[in-house]
Amino acid sequence: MNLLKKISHYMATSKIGWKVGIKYRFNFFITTLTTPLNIIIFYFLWKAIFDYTGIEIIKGFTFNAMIQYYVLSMIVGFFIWAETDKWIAQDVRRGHIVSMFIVPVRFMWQHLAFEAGINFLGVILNLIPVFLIGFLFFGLNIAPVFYFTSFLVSVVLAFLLAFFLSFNLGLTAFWMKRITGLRRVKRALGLFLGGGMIPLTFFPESVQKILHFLPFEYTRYVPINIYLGNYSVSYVFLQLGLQVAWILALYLLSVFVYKRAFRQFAGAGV
Amino acid sequence: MRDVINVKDLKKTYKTHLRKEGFFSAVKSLIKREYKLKHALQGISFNIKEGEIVGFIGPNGAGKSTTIKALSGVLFPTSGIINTLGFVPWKDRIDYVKNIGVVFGQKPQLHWDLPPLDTYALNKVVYDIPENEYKKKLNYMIKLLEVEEIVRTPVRDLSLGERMKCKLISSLLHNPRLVFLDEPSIGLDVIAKDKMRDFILDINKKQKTTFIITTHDMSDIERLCKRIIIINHGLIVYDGPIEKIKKEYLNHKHLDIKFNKWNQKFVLKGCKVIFKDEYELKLELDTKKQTIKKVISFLISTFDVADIIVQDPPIEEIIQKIYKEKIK
Repeated sequence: MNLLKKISHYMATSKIGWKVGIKYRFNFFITTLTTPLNIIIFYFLWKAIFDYTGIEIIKGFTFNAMIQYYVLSMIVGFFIWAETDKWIAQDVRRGHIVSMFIVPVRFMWQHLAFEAGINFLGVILNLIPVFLIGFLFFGLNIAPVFYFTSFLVSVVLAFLLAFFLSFNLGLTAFWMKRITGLRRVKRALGLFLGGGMIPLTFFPESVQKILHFLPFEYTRYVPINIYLGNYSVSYVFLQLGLQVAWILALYLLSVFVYKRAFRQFAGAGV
Repeated sequence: MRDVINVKDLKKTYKTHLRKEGFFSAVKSLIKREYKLKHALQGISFNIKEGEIVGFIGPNGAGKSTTIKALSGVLFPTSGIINTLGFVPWKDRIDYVKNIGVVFGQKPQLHWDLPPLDTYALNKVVYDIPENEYKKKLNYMIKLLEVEEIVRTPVRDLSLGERMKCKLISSLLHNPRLVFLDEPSIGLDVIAKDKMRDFILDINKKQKTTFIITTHDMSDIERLCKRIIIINHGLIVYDGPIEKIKKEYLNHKHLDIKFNKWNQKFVLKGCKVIFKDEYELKLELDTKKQTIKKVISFLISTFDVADIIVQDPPIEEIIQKIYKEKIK
């Protein structure tokens, strides 16, 4: 009962995030409109590469699979969009963060609920059109039930992972005030090392091995490959397990850092 | 009545970066930082009883906000004891803040992109306010502050004063036993200030809510608080009834009179001319020797008066007088 009550507290916050999202629905429409444009760029780029080299399969991808890869990358992108670092840094810098501490809610869960609310709207508005565009124009296959469900589980986990990465980064603002540079680094790393620019199979073997030990590929590359059916059933479960492990690790880290961040804030009165 | 707040020997020292002007000192500060200690609170003690409305007055940087922050649990004191409603504010933060309402005059507390009503609905869930009680209370407050339209408008489109009213509602919806208002009169016009005052008095009477209100302007809380605590340089200068301060230190008023034209001849008992020219006269009036009513009626009947402004002396002046008295 108590837990249910607590969940309802945070659901109410998600609703606020959702409402804020609705206020900026125009923004979402623009995102939806520019998404096919991005895919078109990759489409012609890879078409040129495949035609020029005349090779059927490059680094494990056929031309068709490659295009599907980018369509799916866009879709996963909607799920893992987390800007908590921005919100926290903004509040700290403007001295508004104190307002977060005079309400009886946990700082971390409050942010997670808000972000989930905004994202849920983004996903709903964008998912269906992008999937449709993928199916109709870019030869996106409908994944078998097992892979499709695993994909859905995996993107939700990817969102949580992206959130905790963002939240941990945001907490550093309590000391650094301005974290614009760090946020850029995170975004670039997340996109590049997560497989948003090119599939990770293009990296040297050794680099790929190192990437297994970093959180980035679990936010993007893993769910995409699950959808594409590139993993065996047992490997899918292993990857989902690794996602959960990363979420737990980053959650524990953020509990640790948050305690110190609050101490820093309440000690110095930012 | 029992105490809701006990504060004993509260001290707070901030460590701030010291940086000189100029580019090179900025570079230098990247490598070696110099710190300066700022003693915001130097040991203050007071008790507040349930149902009191206490004014916390002091000039800028006196330590008012620091005290409010420590009391609301968002600031760790350097030393000293605080007990509010049986809690130590900065421990058990979540359990404690359920029982209090806080308005920071200069901080946003409502969701910027949404109408205040959305924030209220969130509060309803977060504070577990029963539906019918929530509706009753909200309607009552909306009517009292006359904000029917305002609570439906996105916060970013509201004026400073309108936002303040909405924040006040948000801080009171959950029936807190203790309310901190930090500079609540920012952005309010005279009529709004009056309304806010009646509103606070009404809530205080009906629910026995304890209020602590900070301000640097005495006139804001003159008719609201029976007791005031004057604070300066992190020390309590005065803690007692406001009446005593009024009688002993607010015994003169400043008058600023504008004329369409006048002969610059003015003599009246208890009035000291500070400044005069062709169109203006500034007076300091000793209210023990002369009533304000007499002065104004004399002015109006004798001269062609365009405007009269009556003001209390600023808080700094009162503090100086208290110090002088203490030395004596």
